[in-house]
Amino acid sequence: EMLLFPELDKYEDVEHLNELIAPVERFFTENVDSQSIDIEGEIPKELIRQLGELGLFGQQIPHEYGGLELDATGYARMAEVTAMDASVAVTFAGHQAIGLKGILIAGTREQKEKYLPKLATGEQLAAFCLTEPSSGSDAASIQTRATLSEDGKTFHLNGGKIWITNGGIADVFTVFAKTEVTDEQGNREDKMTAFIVERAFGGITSGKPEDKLGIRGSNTCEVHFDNTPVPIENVLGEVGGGFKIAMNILNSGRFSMGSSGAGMLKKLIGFAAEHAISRTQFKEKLMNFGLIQEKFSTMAVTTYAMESMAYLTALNLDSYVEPDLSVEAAIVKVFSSEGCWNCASESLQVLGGLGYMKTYPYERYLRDARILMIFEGTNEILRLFIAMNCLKYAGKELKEFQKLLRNPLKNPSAMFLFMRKMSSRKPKKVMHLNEELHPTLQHEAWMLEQWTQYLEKAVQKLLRQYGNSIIDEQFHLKRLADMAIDLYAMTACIGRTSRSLCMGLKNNDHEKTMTQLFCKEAVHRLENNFEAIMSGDQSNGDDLRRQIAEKVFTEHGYAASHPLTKNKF
Amino acid sequence: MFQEYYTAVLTEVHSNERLKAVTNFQHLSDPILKERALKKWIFIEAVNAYLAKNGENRRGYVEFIYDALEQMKPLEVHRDLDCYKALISIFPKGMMIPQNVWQHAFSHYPKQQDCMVEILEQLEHFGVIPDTKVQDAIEEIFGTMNNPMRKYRRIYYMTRKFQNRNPYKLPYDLPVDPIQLAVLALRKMAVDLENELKVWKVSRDENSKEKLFIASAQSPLQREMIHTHPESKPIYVEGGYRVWLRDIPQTYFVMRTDTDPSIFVRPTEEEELENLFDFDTIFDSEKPKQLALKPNVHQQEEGTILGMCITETSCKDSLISWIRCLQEANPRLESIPIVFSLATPSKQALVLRSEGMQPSQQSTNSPDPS
Repeated sequence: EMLLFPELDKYEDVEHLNELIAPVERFFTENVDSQSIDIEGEIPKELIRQLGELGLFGQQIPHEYGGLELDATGYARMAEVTAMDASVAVTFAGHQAIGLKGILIAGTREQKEKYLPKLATGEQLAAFCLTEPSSGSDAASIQTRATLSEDGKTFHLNGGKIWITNGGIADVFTVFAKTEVTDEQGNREDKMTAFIVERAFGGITSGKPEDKLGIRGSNTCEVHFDNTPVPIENVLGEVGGGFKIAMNILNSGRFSMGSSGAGMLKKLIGFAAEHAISRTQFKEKLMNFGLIQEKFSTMAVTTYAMESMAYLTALNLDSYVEPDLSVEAAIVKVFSSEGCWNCASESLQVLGGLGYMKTYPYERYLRDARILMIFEGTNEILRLFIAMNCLKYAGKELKEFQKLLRNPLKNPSAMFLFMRKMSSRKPKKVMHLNEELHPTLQHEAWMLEQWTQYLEKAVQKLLRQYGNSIIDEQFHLKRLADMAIDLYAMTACIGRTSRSLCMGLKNNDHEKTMTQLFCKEAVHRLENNFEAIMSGDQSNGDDLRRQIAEKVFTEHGYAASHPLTKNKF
Repeated sequence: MFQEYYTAVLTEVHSNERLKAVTNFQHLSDPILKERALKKWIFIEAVNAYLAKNGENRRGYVEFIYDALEQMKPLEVHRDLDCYKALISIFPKGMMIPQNVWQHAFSHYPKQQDCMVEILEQLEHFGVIPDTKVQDAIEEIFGTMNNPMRKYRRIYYMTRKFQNRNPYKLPYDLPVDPIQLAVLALRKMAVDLENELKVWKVSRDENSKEKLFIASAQSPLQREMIHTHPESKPIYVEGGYRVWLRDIPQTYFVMRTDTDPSIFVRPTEEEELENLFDFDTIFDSEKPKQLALKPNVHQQEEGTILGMCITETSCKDSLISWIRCLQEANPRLESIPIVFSLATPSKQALVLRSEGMQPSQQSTNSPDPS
């Protein structure tokens, strides 16, 4: 059932979406000068106004408040277009994907009526304030405090946040601060709470915009709160419930990175292909050389996988009521960010020296792509998130079984049955996935089923070996996450190809070849990860890695003697 | 026998003006270093004097060498390769190389070979690494296949391989300055990678102008632990512990507090099985069980170490000054009660008086005001 690539219900829906996209695309190609935005380090106010007129500041806001009310699919499609200029895309993301998402998700009717209309037109911009100097990935360790006043009607915010997108130009902030909460037993605890803070409340100062490597047009700065009064009506959700809101906000915006990355890469592949077709070296066109062909195939396949995953996630988000696709969204984000970085680098490489020069946009795309791996949850944290969530699920299913395995002598007969079952190491064709797909994809379906079963084996082995402390074994968690990412990507690609083949879309045989190549490469990676997990810390090098890292830290740097060293004696 | 030559040269140096100028060693500023250089110079001059006096017919040079070897440690030249080379140069060259099969088979000139082996043994004992010049010398004296050469080759091979294996390697010549010695010792003992060493110079009291040093080691983690320390629990300053830098002892004191034993409690097997795979991760809740406090590197079962110091005079007053210096960075120290429990190091232990044969009043738990 997962392999049935979902789609929009009617042809008219697709048409309608395309009509919405077309003027935006025209606008971006003609009116947005990415190069000058990058050099100046600023998006001109006029441009922001024009983007607001197009309605792009309220993509997910309901019609009644003046927004476009795009669902997840529409939002993903729009992200493909806005990705043409990364600074603009990030400004949008900072404004709507995280900035006002809190109001959308957890706001009361009054809060929505008060803030969303102005935010939808772009008259006011929103920002999301969570990160502080001492807490980036560790969101729960923030130190900004909100103290309740004597009369219980106002909170006073004190603290500082750094690296806030739109921090200098926003008027509405979603701020997270620690408040003292008394629970039922009367214990006092510090818990995080979300507030909607307007700049007009006073006491808010923003620093000057930071000089960044990429997305230079987006306004990133420090925001300080000095006894800012926040009325109690502006608390988002309930007092003490800020952590969950923060997690929900962050989880809901991630999947669009897949489609925005795909949009950017499609353009880059286009430019680079033009170059490869026309450029001649050694009396041959570049496109005839194998190394160049390899680069283009990698780029195409990565883009295909990114797109497929992003839209699979987006369409599933729309098809089900209250879906929890946070793990899938995280997978999309990790794959897309790394794919974008690598493919932007490759496309620059195709151009060689020309790609390195500022006259061409490749270096700007490369610099803009670097941030994708860092913001919206660093890739490392997301890998842990993917792995831990999967382990939680697996652990629930396997709890009884694992109890048995950890104490084999307590229940010998069950142990014996288990040993018989485990003796067959090879996966069996149980799922019959090929029946749901186009017949040419049988081999890929079998690979998918096989490796899913191998993943189950790996998970069982790790749970059996480490028990509860598996959450500290980050070397293994990373491998599990990588396996999960590859499997999800394979699912998405196979599903989409099957649909294309059945429907007779243009170039569907090309899609089939891309899926075949992707599955081949993915299986290669899966094999490596599986072997590394099963063979244990001594064989897969983890022991060595720990030792090397420990030595580097003890020596405060690189520890080996210089190759030219001679002893005095 | 060696003593006579040594004292002779010593008196010469003191009386002769020209020699005094030569042995002034102006490039060395520290008087202790000057003294050491002087002793080394006199040692080598004594050997030269012996060679000059006895010429080719050096009878009893083996006894002379044994005497000199014994004198090296008291004269503090036992780590100096040049002195050993000087002793090796006493052996006559070429005379003792075996000429035929029988001389090769049996230890030719055994007493002399044993003497040479003694020199090499003392050299190895004090951790001196010989160089190839010693090998050339042995070859000239005894030839290529003999006991001293075997000994030398083994020393050369082994000590060179192991010279960098000590993770707490000290410099070959230890510094003379007590502050630098204290810093070396503290650096050796510090476990925390973020440890910070500070040296303060404090005057003994208002009147005296001389400043005594206090070298103290504390890391930001320890500062944080002091910051959150409850005012009801005391902090103990325990001391008089000894740490060695090769052969120089340093007395250090430790600021310690009792550790809460609950942080060492591990869940029992039943508890673990009950909560198996009940993951409460950093993504699920604000204060997950995963981030429960693990004991950090300073928290041991015997106590939590909050700081270390080495002072010039290891007396209670200097420790009080140390606490006062620490209060700059740890303001909480003013309000937390501090208990001193000092044991004097054995050097200053019981002093037996001759009359009445009674030990003087120096019990282990009271401070020594000297």
